[in-house]
Amino acid sequence: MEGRPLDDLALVERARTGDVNAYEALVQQYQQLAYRVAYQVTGDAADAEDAAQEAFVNAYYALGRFRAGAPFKPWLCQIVANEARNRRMAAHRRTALAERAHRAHASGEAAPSPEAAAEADEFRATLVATLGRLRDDDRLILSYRLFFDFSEADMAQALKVPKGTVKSRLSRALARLRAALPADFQLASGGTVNG
Amino acid sequence: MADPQRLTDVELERALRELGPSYPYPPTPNLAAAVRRRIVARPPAPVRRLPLWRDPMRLAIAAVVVLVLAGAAALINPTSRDAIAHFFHVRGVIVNRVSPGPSVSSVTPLNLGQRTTLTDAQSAVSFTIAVPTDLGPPDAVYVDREVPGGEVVLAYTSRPGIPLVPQTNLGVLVTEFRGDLIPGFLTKEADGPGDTRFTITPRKWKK
Repeated sequence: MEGRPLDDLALVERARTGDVNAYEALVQQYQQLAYRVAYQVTGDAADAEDAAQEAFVNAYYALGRFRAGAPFKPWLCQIVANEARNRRMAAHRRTALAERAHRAHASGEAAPSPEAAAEADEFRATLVATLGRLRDDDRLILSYRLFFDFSEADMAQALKVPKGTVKSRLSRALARLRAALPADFQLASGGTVNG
Repeated sequence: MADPQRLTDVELERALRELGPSYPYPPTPNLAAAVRRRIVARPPAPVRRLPLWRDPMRLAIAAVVVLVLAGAAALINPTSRDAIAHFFHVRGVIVNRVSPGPSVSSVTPLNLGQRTTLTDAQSAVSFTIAVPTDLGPPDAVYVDREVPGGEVVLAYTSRPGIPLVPQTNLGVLVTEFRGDLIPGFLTKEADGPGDTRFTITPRKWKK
């Protein structure tokens, strides 16, 4: 999912001059990330698709204001998250987010046994549902860091916050996730929490 | 039952990292084609440049250009250049500009005496005036009778091999007077016991 910085720079520069093919290449490179960021906010596939598509279009028309040489990924994610927030607020779908997350089926990982698979599914479902109950900002910062492996600088730009506050915000998000976990939550390894 | 509130940040982060690859996202739709259709249908408007006073980068560049031009203008003017060099204590050659001094068109500012002829000068002094044969007759002769025995000045303008001195407009100035010295007045002392005395024979001096 991660782009290659040098390719990004070249593609962005070409796109700024009106090269549609270059921008289409950028879209293909980042559409999965953009869609997943949007989905983390909206919790709805259709809304996430609309938000990501709208964000790519808006980003294209905003390329004139894009600072030359800056990383494209966090700039794009900032636009995607804003667009996704707008759509979710309009649809008032926040309460349905957790339910949809519960219904979501796990990916087809190979499991050693039916019992272990059931345990892993339960672990994922609980964690996904708990994430769904968090605030957007908490869910986004946890996703950027732990799902999409953003650097602190990229997180700061994507969240539009000072770089020095990223660690504390991440720590507070983890604390709120911890507080929201059900009492019977068990780690995926099978061991109970801290004995 | 375990208490999830005792989970550490590290354990929670590990749990989330393990969840990441299997997070139940819906399949990613192909956005590229739709985005391309939309941006081809509506090409971006030409980038409208911000006014200069609202564009920090252009404002900074304009300020630098103005400063450079002002500095260059100040350095072109010699007076302001010297003032700037003095202000910053720049060491080196300091040129003090003064109004041109008075031109010396004659030898009279030298206060050589009264202008006269060589014949009249000879009658006014107590010694025989010597005229340098290589220089020939002087261009001007002055006599000063207030000097005991009289003083004669022979003035020459430039000659081949003798450049003109701009300050005096002269090439050579020969002053003649009688110099009588008191024997023993002029001594030269040397270190060590006793004095070494030089006897000066009175004679005519030229300078």
